Amino acid sequence: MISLNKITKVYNDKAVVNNFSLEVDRGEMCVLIGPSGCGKTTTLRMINRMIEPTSGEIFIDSRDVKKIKPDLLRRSIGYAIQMVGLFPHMTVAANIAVVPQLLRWEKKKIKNRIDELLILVGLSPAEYSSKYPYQLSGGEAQRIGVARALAANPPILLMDEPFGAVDPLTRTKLQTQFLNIQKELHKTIILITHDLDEAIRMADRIAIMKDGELVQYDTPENILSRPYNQFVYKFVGTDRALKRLSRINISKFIKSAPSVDEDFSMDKVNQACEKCRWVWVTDSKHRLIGWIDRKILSQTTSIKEALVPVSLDEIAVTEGASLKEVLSIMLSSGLRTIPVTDKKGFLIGEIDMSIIERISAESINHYEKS
Amino acid sequence: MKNPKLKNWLILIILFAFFIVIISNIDWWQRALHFLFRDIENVIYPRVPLIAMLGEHLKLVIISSGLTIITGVPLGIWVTRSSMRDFLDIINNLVSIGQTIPPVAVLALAVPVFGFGLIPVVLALFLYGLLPVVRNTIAGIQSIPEFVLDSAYGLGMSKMQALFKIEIPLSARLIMTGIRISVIINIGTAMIGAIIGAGGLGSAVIAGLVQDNVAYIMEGVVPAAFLAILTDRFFSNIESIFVYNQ
Repeated sequence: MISLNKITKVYNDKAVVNNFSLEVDRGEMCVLIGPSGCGKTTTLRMINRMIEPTSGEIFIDSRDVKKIKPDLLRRSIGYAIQMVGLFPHMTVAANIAVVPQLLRWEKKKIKNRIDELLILVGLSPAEYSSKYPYQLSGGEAQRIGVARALAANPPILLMDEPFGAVDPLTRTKLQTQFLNIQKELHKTIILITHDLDEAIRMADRIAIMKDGELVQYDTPENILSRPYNQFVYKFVGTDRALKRLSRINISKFIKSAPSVDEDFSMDKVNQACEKCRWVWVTDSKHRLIGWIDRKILSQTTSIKEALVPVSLDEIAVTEGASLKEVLSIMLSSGLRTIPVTDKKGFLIGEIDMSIIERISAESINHYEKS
Repeated sequence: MKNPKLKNWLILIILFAFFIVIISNIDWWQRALHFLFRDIENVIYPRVPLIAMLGEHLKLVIISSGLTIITGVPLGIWVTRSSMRDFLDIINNLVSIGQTIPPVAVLALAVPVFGFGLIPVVLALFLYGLLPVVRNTIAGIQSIPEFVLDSAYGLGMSKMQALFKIEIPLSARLIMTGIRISVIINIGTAMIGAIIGAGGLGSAVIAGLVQDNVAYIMEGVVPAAFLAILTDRFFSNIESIFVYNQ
């Protein structure tokens, strides 16, 4: 979809971007990351011709961008920047309407689109349409910035630290929301960040840049487990094993868990306990309420007596969680095996620490080139 | 937000009505000036009626300020275009010189070329009023944050669209301030018109100076001061339309 072919940009005899090639597939989110001054913003801005490359070619859908008039090219590419750059003299609605108006959409269509986008980014159209940018919080402004970039439904989005100027809590919220939007819209996105956690969380593929050159371009999992050289290894940091766990969803590793209903007779419980050291206990609706240790069973007469009640927040993970969350709960609860539930608390299965040990062993300390 | 603006316009309308009433009742002037200057026999400048002097004065101000605005604003915008940046300092210096040369000197130089009357006065006032308009236009456009323009272009606005939809509206307040200052300076400076026969409220002032008649001077100065206040209020009200952050 987007293809950069040996792009070089020279300023004052210094190559800011040097012989840079990159392919981004349709519907994929590519995150450009690297230290300050590595040329990531310059690279991004060459795609929508805010900056012209000194040499090299850029293709969008195999069309050379040089052959498209810059204004027209940019109207077909969503653009969001860290400073947001909302127009202070225009209402939120007018800000979002900028590109549709440039494209001469009908008034009614624009109005509908504004409402649709505000809902998409989680803001009430009735409340926000007529507000001015100075009335918005940082997080709201960023969301309007994203809505404005999406306004004319461009297939491509270029985003330069779109969640940069907000507090960490708001940033995580915006990231989650944006990932959900992306699941729905499947845009082709190039996003710049200097926050590695953001990159690992959001990216389908990460492009690591250094001094204007592409160092490694791969999936987050591979970047973390197989850093290409010492630079990437150091850039990724010593907690990369943990970071990698945060990318791995637990769904593949859930085992079926022995469980009993709280109304079961003690015989049935004994039976269930024969093969394992404990069983999970659920209520009549199959919601997890606690567990029973086999050793305690012989000394008690009813399930209620033997039951160790649990708080779901403290020991259970939900099915969408990552292995990092699992590990965190294991460490804080002191359990080697923890239950997995769905959002409503229904017991789905359990997950064991041996899985994490096995996965971590795969990402041993090595890089392919030193 | 709406109410104080409305109030300001109401105040302006009341002041304006008051001004009209005073100007059109020459008897009141006569009585007031007699009361203030008892030993002066003739308190009203006899050659030209006040209304006519005011008319001439307004004509001078409107023509010269009009010219200042229609050349100054585009000039300021023009030198802030990225391709014209080289001219920025030159223009800045030129309009500064325009204000450094006293208007009287411009008159002295212009009269031999254009003769007496309206043209040399308009030229002098035009040059003198150019600085605040050009300077403020440049300042207004340069005050727009880089990232705002960056997103305007990034969203696909052409240079013209960015200029008219973003740059001019966002610098309008500062541009209006420049215009306000320029017009007010002009109202005062237009007094010199009388020196070379272009008329205006200066006629009474100069006659008063020559004949040592304070009443004549007052007849010229008070309406001019009133005019300046009205103009100041008027443009301030317009400026407040272009405030976007409160």
